[in-house]
Formats: sequence, C-alpha cells, structure tokens
Amino acid sequence: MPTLQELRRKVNSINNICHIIRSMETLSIVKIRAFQDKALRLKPYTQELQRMLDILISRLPQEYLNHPLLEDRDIYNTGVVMITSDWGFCGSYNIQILNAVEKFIKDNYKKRMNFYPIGTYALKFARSKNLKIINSFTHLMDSPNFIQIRRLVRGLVRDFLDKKIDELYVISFDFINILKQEINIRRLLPLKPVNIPERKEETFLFLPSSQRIIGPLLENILETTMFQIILDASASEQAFRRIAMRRAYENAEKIKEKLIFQLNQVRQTKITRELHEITSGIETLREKEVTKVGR
Amino acid sequence: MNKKSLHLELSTPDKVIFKGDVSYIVVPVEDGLLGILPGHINTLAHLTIGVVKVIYNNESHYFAIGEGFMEIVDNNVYITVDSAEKAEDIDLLKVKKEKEELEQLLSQRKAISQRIQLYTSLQKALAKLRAVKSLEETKGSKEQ
Repeated sequence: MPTLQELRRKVNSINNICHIIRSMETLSIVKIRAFQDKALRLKPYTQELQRMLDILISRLPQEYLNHPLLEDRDIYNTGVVMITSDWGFCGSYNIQILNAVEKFIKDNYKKRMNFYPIGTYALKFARSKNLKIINSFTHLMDSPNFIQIRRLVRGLVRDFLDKKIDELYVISFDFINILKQEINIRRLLPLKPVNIPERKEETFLFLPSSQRIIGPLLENILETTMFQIILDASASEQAFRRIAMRRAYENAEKIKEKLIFQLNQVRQTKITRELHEITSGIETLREKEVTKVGR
Repeated sequence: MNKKSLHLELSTPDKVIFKGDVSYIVVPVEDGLLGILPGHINTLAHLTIGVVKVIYNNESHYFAIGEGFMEIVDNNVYITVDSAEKAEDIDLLKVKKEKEELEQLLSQRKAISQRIQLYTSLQKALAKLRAVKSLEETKGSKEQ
C-alpha cells in the first residue's frame, strides 16, 4: 500500500500534466486557425496569378508554349517531397505519411527515386532506409513563410531544369476540415499542360516580353501551390496533435480519478485505524476503572 | 468607374496591402521604371525588386516590393508580389542594420547560390531604404 504522501505527490504531478496537455491542445487549435487564415488570405493571390497565366497563354504564340517546366520528358529520375512534422506528440501523423511513402516506393520500384524530406521525421526515415537525399529541410513547418517556400521551390525547379529529376511528386496531408485529413500524392512537375483558353488577338503589352514572363509566372504559380500544400500539411499536423492531446488528456483524467480514489481510501483507512486505536484505548481505561470500583 | 482613375490592388501571399482608386502609379520593371496613367494599354509585366510609387488624394505613397507581376486590364491594376511594405511601416534602424549585415556577409567567400540569396535580400533592404527616403523627400518638399 502506497503511503499518503506518495499518493499526494502523484496526484499533484498528474494535475500538472493535465494542465500542460490542455494548454497544448488549445495551442494547436489556435495554430490550426492561424494556418487556415493564412491559406484563406493566399487565395486571392493564387487566383490573380492564375488569371494572369490565362491572359498570357491566350495571347502567346503556340511555339512559346513548350516551356521546359511544362515539358513531359522521359523519366529517369523521380523526385519525391515528403512532408512530416518536426516534433512528436502528434499521434499517427508521421507514421501515416511514412507508410504512404513506403507504399509509393513499392508501387514504383522501377523508378529511380530521389528524396526531399521536409521535417525531421522524414529526414530520419530517409536516412534509416538509405534513400538518396538531394536536399532536406527542417523547421519549416512551425511558421511557414512565403520567402522560405520560394527558396525551396527555386531549388526544386533548378534540379528539374538541370535534369537531376524528371518529375516531382509531393506526398503530404490535405486539410479538409478539423476532423478530416487525407494523404494526397500530387505530381507537381512537370506542370500539367495548361488548358488553353480561347485565343484573343486584342493588343496586350508584355513587359519585358511574353516569352520572358512565362517562366517566372509558372515558377510563381508553383511556389504558391507549394505554399498551399505546406500550409495544409501544417494545419493537418496540428489537427492530429489536437486529437492526440485530447486522448492524452482523457487518459490522464482517468488515472487521476483512480489515484484520488486510492488516496481517499488510504486516508480513510488511516482515520479509521486511528479512531479504532483511540476507542480501544478508552475502552481499556474504562475496564481498568470498573475493576478498581469493583474492588 | 471613374474614367480618370485607376483601381489598384496590391497583394502579397499574406494579405492585400493596398486597395483603392489612384491617379498615378510607378512600378519597377526589368528595363527601368514604368509610369501608369488612366487609360493605359492592357499590360502584363514582370516586376523587379524596387519601389512602387502611388499617387492618390494628391499625395505620394511608396511601397517597397519584392519580385512579382502586374496586370492592367481596363484601368484595373493588379500587382502581386512576394513581399511588400508600406514606406510608413518600415523600421529604418532595423533595415539599416540588416543592410550592413548583408554587406558584411557578401564580402565573405560564399557559394554562388548563397550569394544570390544574400544579394536579393540586400536589394530588398536597399529598396526599403529608397522608399523611406522618397517618402521623407516628398514630406520635406511639402513643408517648404
């Protein structure tokens, strides 16, 4: 039987743990909201870029449309970006992603794979499986900002144009809502041949020139797509963390209840014992008195 | 819409920095500066790092911008850039310090890709300084 003191100490520490878990849960809810907010604010920007691309393509002579970023080459090397978290405490988030990656490797065993792990868990996974890593990024997910993502994407585009990779896949979680997230495998490069809108002949001025705009514009669209993916993945991570924390909190509460029950029991037995001792003491005293009087 | 004004929308991935009717815009393009008045021909342009000048209510306003694009369609001007800051909001001391640090780093030996990154950051810092300077100049000329 544990002593009263021991139990009290245990209850106190469980209490503290409950507090911490609770605040972590609240924190992830706040973070989810922040990421969603960011994604929402990104939307007009993306739409604007898409419209610019439509304008450009509808007026561009056909021969300029085979930009290297749009070109379907023979595939020798496949690039895979996998997005995991940097920290633990997020349930099955990382495991699910890494399982998807493993499955992807199995399904495409004929292809030569090159990896771009994002997040420490992906990096550890790639190292332990001896995968070929071209470049890795960690601590991107806490507060993703566009400039960082831009650097990342520029690197990917450079590798694509240098023919280090001939296609690029991204494996990550899509954030559907706070209770539902899905793994999505996207093919990011080469960019899908854009649907060519109606040809328009009205005059339009391109600066510096239409051929020179299309490259940066496509790159920029790629960057925003990637930013969107990263924001989604971050939000999903936090959603997983929230659920994990909720479970942990419930478990901690259960343990706390048990401990408090035990504590009460121990305290009660102690009180009962003491009472018993006192009453039996009184009893013996009385007996002595009775025998005195009787004599 | 009023024919004598332009409708400008300046947005970054984070937020819409400016939205409103203006009378004159200057943007940095690859070949120099491009001034836009109402009635400008429809345009799509690649913008470089620099300062955007906007005149509305007869006052000049400056924005330090990063790389991006501009679209003009029937007096509607949409500018999308990776970063933008209003001259009034720029923390001058911080930018100056940043600039010195970047110059210091650039004077060292570095890999080419790193140098490009640093150089872009430096250009952005310089653009911010220019924006603040232009703002001060217009303020100064008004007081006289």
